[in-house]
Amino acid sequence: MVKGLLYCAITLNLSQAIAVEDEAQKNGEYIFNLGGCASCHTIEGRAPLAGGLEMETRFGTFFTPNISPDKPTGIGEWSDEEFLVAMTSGVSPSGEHYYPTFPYTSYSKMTREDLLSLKRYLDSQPAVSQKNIPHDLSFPFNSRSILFFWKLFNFDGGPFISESSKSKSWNRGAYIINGPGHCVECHTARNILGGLKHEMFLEGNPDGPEGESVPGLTPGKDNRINQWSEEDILFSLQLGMIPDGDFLGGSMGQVIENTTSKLTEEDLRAITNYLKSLSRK
Amino acid sequence: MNRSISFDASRRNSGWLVTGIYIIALNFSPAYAHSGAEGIVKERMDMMDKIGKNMKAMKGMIQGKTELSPDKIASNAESIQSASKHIKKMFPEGSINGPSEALPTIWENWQKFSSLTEELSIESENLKQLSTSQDRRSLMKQFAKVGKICRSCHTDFRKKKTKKE
Repeated sequence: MVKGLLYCAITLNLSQAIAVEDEAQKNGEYIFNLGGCASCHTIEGRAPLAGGLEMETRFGTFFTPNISPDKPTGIGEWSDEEFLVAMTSGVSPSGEHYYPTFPYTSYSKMTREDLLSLKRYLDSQPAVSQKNIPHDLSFPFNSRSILFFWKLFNFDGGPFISESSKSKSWNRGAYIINGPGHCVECHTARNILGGLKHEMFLEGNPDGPEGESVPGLTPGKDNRINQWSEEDILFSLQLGMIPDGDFLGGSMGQVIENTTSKLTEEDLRAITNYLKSLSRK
Repeated sequence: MNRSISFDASRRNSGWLVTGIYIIALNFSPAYAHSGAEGIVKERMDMMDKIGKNMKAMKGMIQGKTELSPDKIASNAESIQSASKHIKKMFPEGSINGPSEALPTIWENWQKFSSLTEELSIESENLKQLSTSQDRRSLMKQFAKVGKICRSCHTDFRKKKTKKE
């Protein structure tokens, strides 16, 4: 009788633990989409999460790393703590600084819970054995030691702090845009050192990644979305269709495919709510 | 104020002074405009505009902003389906002259480009078939399938917008 009860209790605890783990993994998949991880770490038609995507910049060529749970070549050996440090401080388990092409500058604002859910999801994916390709950068950018100084002036590492005077939806939008969604990384112009020009927050970047001109998202008169209604913004994020009937392509096409088309309407409305509240300039 | 997104001007200014030794030459990308297109490039740009106008016309009805007209949906979808049949021949190899926004990847990956045009034909035909349905949800789903093809093609095969010089 006692043995039977004990067995039931253990089975119940185990199934509860599995349910919690499943929930974290499911949330992790949503965070994975929210962070747009696939856009850089999965090359279309090749093994997922194995990296290897070439990113040409004015500093040289970067190659994205393998983030599959393969132990020798991916991140399968990483502890939770090492993963958190990488995502929020931009430092690898071996103590190397990451280049800011990896947007830890935004991911640092993510909650610990979201980050750990993301790790649960990544851990559940197939391991792919593929060695990372070293970056091909020009002097002095080929030395990671300069990143220490870069961080001093361009990275505050602060977590997201919600504003109690604002609505829950506004705060959710602010969290997504400044944190996991890392929208600020492309929609804000950068200084000569590649740091964000915070005084031009979300005002667009005429010289974005791969020379792409990235439009502003503030309700300024020169921004295209200034004339868009909330529904127009929502539709463009869900489907990529803009009010004149055209469909967004380029990098935003990928963002829509991998991220915004997979978000809940509630989150998309939160993003819209936050964007509409930005000050006019 | 969320300090993580605030701007500390004094700190950043000092950053400029200390690390100013790293002077980087900025790259400027060539600019291009829509006007001035000729020949096949103009023809296909006009055709793409026509597809866009048909999508725009359907959007309002499907979103419930304007009255849902099965005839109009059928006519818009048919117009897209008819245009989709001509896309491939409007992209002869290497036709990237003038203000064309086509990427050479079209011909490097012709099979994918080609199958997207075929998908467009199938999905716009399916939208036409659904036009008599008063169910906005199914219409929206089918409209999204057509839209996804437009987006996918523009992501892989249309030049990214670069800054004007």
